[in-house]
Amino acid sequence: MSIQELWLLLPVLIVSAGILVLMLQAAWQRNNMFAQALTLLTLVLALVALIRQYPTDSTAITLLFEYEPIGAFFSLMLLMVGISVALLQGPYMGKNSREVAEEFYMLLLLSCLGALFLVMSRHVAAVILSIELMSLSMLAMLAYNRERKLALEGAMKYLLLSGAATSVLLMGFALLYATSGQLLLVDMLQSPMSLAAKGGFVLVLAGLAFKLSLVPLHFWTPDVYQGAPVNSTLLLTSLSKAAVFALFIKLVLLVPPEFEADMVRMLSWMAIASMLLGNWLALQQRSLKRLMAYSAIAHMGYVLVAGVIAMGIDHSLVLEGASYYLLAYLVASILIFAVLTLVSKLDDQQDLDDLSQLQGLFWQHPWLASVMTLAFLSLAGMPITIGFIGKFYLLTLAIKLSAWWLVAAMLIGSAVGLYYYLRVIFTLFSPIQGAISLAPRAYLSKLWIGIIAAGLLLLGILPGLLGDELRSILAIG
Amino acid sequence: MVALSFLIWLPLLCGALAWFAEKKVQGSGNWVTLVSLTAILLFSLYLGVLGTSSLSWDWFARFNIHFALLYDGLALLLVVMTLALAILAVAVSWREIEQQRGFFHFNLMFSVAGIIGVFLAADLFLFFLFWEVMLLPMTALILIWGHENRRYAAIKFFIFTQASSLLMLVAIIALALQHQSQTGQLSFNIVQLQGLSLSSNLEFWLMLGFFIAFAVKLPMVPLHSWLPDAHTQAPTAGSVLLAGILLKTGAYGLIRIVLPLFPQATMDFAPVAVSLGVISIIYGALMAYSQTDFKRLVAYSSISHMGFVLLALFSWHEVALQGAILTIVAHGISSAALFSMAGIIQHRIHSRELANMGGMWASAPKMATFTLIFVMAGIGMPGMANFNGELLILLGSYQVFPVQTIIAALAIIGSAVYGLHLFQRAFQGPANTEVADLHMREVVYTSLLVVALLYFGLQPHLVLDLSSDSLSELLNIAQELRP
Repeated sequence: MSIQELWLLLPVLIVSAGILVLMLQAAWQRNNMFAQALTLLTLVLALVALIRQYPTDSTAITLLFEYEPIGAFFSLMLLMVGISVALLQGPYMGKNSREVAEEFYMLLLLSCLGALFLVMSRHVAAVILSIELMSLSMLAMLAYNRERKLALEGAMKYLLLSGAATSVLLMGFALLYATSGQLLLVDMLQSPMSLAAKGGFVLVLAGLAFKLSLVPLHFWTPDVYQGAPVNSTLLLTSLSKAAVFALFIKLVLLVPPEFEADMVRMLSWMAIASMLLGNWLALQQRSLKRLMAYSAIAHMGYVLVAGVIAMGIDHSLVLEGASYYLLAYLVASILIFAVLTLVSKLDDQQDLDDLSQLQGLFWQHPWLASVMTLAFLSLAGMPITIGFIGKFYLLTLAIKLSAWWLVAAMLIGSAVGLYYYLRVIFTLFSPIQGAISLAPRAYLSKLWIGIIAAGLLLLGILPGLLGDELRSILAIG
Repeated sequence: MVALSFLIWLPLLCGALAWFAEKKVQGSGNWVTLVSLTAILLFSLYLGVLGTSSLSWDWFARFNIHFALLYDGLALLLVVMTLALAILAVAVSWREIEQQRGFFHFNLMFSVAGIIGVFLAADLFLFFLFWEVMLLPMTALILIWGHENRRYAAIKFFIFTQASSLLMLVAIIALALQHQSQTGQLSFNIVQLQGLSLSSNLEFWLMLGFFIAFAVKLPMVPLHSWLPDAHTQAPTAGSVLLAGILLKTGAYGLIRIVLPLFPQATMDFAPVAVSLGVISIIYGALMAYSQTDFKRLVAYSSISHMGFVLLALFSWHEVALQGAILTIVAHGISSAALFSMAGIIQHRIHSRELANMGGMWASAPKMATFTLIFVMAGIGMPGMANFNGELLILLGSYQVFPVQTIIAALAIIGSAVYGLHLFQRAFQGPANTEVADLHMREVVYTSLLVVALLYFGLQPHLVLDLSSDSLSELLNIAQELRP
């Protein structure tokens, strides 16, 4: 490994160093504020390092990883998520929490590290290692308040099912290795595919689809989302989805031509089922976290549309569309969960997530409620929000390919989605039911939320700011 | 011309200002909104005097989308009407809104900005953006300041219009991609898209996508069911804006987009659309007759009147098109007038039920007189604006679709029946209730409405002159296809 390669690994190295320092700090002198500051510093430094040496083409770093623009763009999003979670954990825990704080930040950095490695991986070993690093540290965060029964239940479910999914993934890679004799992802899929290899590839995709909670592998989602502390749910719904999707799209782009027709059929059905079922099941939810779980299923269905089309034509627009849509989804998710985090407490038995508890939020905390409204409008794909531009990209792609089934499912899904998003927004604006207490101070978190919300509006009103540049950022075409 | 875009920013800015002002000084929001709307009205007239103007900025280069506005005669007409009716909306809700006044004014101005944007947009992407954005504040108006069943009405209104506009979005994108495959570049510009040659099958489906979105707004039977609820539950200002302008955006879309972009498909589809229009006319009249709620009755009468517009637009005949424009203006004024009357009455007796009214002429003669004038205008009495519109529509359409037109003409009797029925039940007969008569502020704006109705009734050429350019373009297109 040369110095040059080490230098390219700088963001990851910074995060690793942060983890070590944090560990030493926890052993020596516990201090919540310091741990949070250190985590934030680590993530911001990693972000700066990443931006400083943003790649313009693909460079292999050892056998395991590669450094390329699309992965780097996803890494930016991952670090944004990490910073949000780190910022929100402070007000969420409060001053005198019964739980210790340092470990949470350590786990957060570990799962960020896993996610960063995952989007860089080009080798089976790297994929397995990083996906497990990410999932296992996330698992501990899902049950971070040990007093909560639901959290423990959810974490247990996630542990068992995610373990099963990883074994499916491993099995798939094993089959692919058995037929091709290669462990590099690119080489693995280049040799002509026998039936066993095809089966292996489907298993790999199934393992990833589990993490993305695509129908029919979505069953764990609502329970885990609802049980987990809301800040961990945020991490689960954004970090793991974005990182896994980066790998997913990478694999899908590698599908050999003779296998394309089958894959298109399979993924189309998964996408259509996810969009319809996710939106449909969200309709009757009273719990906001469950609602967001089903909405995540639906939105992953939408981005999968990009994956399906990736196998058709015009790779450049596909990657742009997928990136933009995912960014829109992340931004909206961060905002919604951030607001929930600010009005909940980690020490309580339950988070504030029943719809009726949020009644009249607008009249009590107009700014928070406006942010949440904007985020839901963005998820619903209303113009002047970033969500609309994402939807516009995907619709353009689907129409360009004349994939009318996908278009129809997207339209029906969006129309159904409107109803439940609107229901939440209406609840925020209905007369006040009971006082909702807000985490005191937390100015920095609120400022960060404000910045992200401003970004949501800005990229919705002036889509060209990012949209025109995305091509060169992703270095495609 | 940069100044053109101020027509969109200014209402937004002033809305925020009114919100802020209301927070500082109670009751100042009304004045801020009123003064700024009047100023914008004058500004729009000034821009109109300068002649047709346009503006185009790069906006989203990846898809060749521009922030393009066009301000011609037709747009001027509708923008002025929007602002005038918005002033009316402020006037009728001067004392009606009791809570969250600042936010109310903000929403009102926000929706005005969105509607003006729809009328000005010369780029389909921009058009769609405004089309959706104007829904948000309108939904908020219904949801927050509406009457007893407002939640249901607001959801229904939003989902109907939103879901149908998704079809329009698909059609817009498909159209732009078609442009790309023919010329190598995406385009959302309405004028550029007119040059496309589409296969008749594709043209039909694209036309249908737009048509459904506009027909929901218009509204046309069987896509009308959001309208009675939304109009009835909305606060008076909301009803005025909804009936006065929002419905017209549907007609405007048909004139600006559907007819010029898909002439052949429109003509092939015309028998169906015209029949649906006639069904709307009759259905609206029948339903209006059977209502017991003042606002609901007026809402159904709107369906009936907008049916005439649909009939006229799809018969694509010069006289009928002129009639359509006149009806758009006339119905905007007369329905807004009737809704503000309903608001005035509701403010006094806290009910919209006709059964709770009756005999109000005795206690409120001025109110009764004004209502009678508005009802007469709605019926289409000669001398009032609506008469010219409907007469021209029937004259023009008869030459293209005689059977449908004859049936539509019969429905005018229906409008007389429900109109007089409304008036008789509310103001005549034994006195059920005592109401305070109109006071100064109300007399001022209702008499302005009467003046407007009479003026456009006697001087319709003003409206026709303004819209003549747009109409002659349409007729040129028609001439090529139907010599």
